[in-house]
Amino acid sequence: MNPSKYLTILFGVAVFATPDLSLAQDDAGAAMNDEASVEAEAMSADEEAALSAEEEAMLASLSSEADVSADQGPSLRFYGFSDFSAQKYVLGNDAQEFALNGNTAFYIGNLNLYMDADLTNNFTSLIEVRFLFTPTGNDDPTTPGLLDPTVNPRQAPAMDYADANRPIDFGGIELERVYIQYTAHSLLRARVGRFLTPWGIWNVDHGSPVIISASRPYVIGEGFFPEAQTGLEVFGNFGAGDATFGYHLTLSNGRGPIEQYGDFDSNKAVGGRVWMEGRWVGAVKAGFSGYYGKATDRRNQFDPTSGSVYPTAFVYEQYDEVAYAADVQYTYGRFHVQGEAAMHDRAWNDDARPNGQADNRRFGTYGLVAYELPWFNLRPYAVVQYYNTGHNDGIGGARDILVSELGLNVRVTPNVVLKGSVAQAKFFNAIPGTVAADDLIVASSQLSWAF
Amino acid sequence: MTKPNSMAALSLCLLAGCLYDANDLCGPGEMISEATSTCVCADNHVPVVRDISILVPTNPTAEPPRAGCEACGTNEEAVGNECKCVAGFVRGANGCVESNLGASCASDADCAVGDNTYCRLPDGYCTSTGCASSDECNVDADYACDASEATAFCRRPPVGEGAVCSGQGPDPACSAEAPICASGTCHVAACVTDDDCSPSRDCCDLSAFTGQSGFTLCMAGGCP
Repeated sequence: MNPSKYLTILFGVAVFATPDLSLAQDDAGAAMNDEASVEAEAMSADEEAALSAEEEAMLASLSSEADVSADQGPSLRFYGFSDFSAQKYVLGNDAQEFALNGNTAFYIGNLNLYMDADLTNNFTSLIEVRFLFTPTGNDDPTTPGLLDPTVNPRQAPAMDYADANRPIDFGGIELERVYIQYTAHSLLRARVGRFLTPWGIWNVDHGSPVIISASRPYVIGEGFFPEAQTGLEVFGNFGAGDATFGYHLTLSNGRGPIEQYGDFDSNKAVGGRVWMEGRWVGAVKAGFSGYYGKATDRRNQFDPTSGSVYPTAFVYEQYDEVAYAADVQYTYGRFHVQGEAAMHDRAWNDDARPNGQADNRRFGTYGLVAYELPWFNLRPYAVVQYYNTGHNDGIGGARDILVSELGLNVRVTPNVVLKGSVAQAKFFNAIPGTVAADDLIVASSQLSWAF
Repeated sequence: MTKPNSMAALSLCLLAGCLYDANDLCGPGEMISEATSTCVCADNHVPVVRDISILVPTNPTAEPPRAGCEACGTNEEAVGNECKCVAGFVRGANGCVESNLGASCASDADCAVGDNTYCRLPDGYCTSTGCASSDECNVDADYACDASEATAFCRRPPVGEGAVCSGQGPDPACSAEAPICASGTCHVAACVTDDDCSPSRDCCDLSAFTGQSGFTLCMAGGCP
């Protein structure tokens, strides 16, 4: 790596580390805000001044494009985020005791590494990899489980061939994003590869330092939209006065057992998002997202009576799905409020419907209010979320769940955030004797950092 | 459900929510169970098993994948996952036909006008004689060939077998012929071999579950 690249990285880190305590929403974090990055070019100087530290880092990466020359080759930046949590469930019944571990647990929740490159003035690339401790500790489905609890139900560790075959716990990786992006104009950008589905606020802005609460609201992770898709995304934005308008269109394999690299049906999934951002009395941002796809699980079967030596493929399970979501975010001084709502419909193909599965409509929403106090970067917040699973046994034995959470977010440094919260989950229409039969209380604390 | 194309489907769905129909949540012949939010066969319907070649089932007791449910025919009733002839009817070439199988009788004369001319006494029901195996009896009605007597005859299933009960063990809700309540239904006890049970049932040794040595029941759907 030549010295200029070192300088580029150091510059990025320096910008990244620059405190910007005037913002209510901004959180330190890696350059993980896609919309922020693509909007950056269109923003005015005033708007740029309001960027978060992570967005500034992304801007730095964009501005460094100009420094890329043919003989230097593409630049490459590594950055990311991680978080450490302590969590305790306050359990209220036997079913909760069985399903959840009531002991306080320490864990690393996320360790995401970004590899970001400016290939040319028009081409950029981003790769995001999450490192996990799982499958260590996961239950092994091939063990007898309750039928014989004396057999260890968990995945066996691997043997370390480099260390006398001693047992070694092994983890996994998840490729969250891998794409190359072409910028023709701020109105027209395209990326191909694996990208986070552009819906709502916290599916794309998923870095734990960015998220105000200790964890994303439950409904955001419930798969109303695919979290990520493999295919093509076209997007762009334009400014009009104090407002910016943008769009995203996606075409992908949709959901399915091999959706990362294949598609068992010919019906590509399509989706889109429109959003606007304005700076009038405070900053407001709102968007609407939609998605339609067909998910297919294809299997092979062999019929000895058919006379053929080859197995034949058949559609084992298949459904169509459509999802919609709306989001709004408002920031005024130290005051911040945001909310998202999403609905998801799933309709099974009658010829490939799993036994008993009914068509389903789910709805989920949350609202968050936060206020940054003038001292020590303290930001108390409150979150209320509601989720109707559309199924009587949808969540722990209940159809509906209402979660109320109070917490405190403290930006210790621009890229280190400490959070603590207590959440109470109330279940509705619960089946007696299930987890949902009683309220569940979760106390969480998290230290997240960007690097 | 076949869609003309994705973009058109998305546009329509965004406007009208076309996929989800609260009045049509299940497959053909199915209905939604309000208690569980799952699709179950509608009244007097049985599952239509999908044509999937399962060479070695991983879980032999699991229900095979189904493609909805179909209605039982005339004079049939759904019993478990099968359509069976209602009392007074037996399976014929064209569905269930009227029969005096199992009809009450006091002597052979009472059965003489029907297709089963033997009155089994002292139980008092019409059946047939001369069977060599249970295959020659009405399997649909769960009759078994009883060759323990000089003249082999088709023996009816025990009265009250499969009736709903709520206790565990001997239950007044069960009959004398199937006195033991287990898993919510009445069972015949003290079988030795499968031949002591109706053709649809197996003789299961439940000693390991009850702690009683030699405790057996005739059970449907295989032994636990």
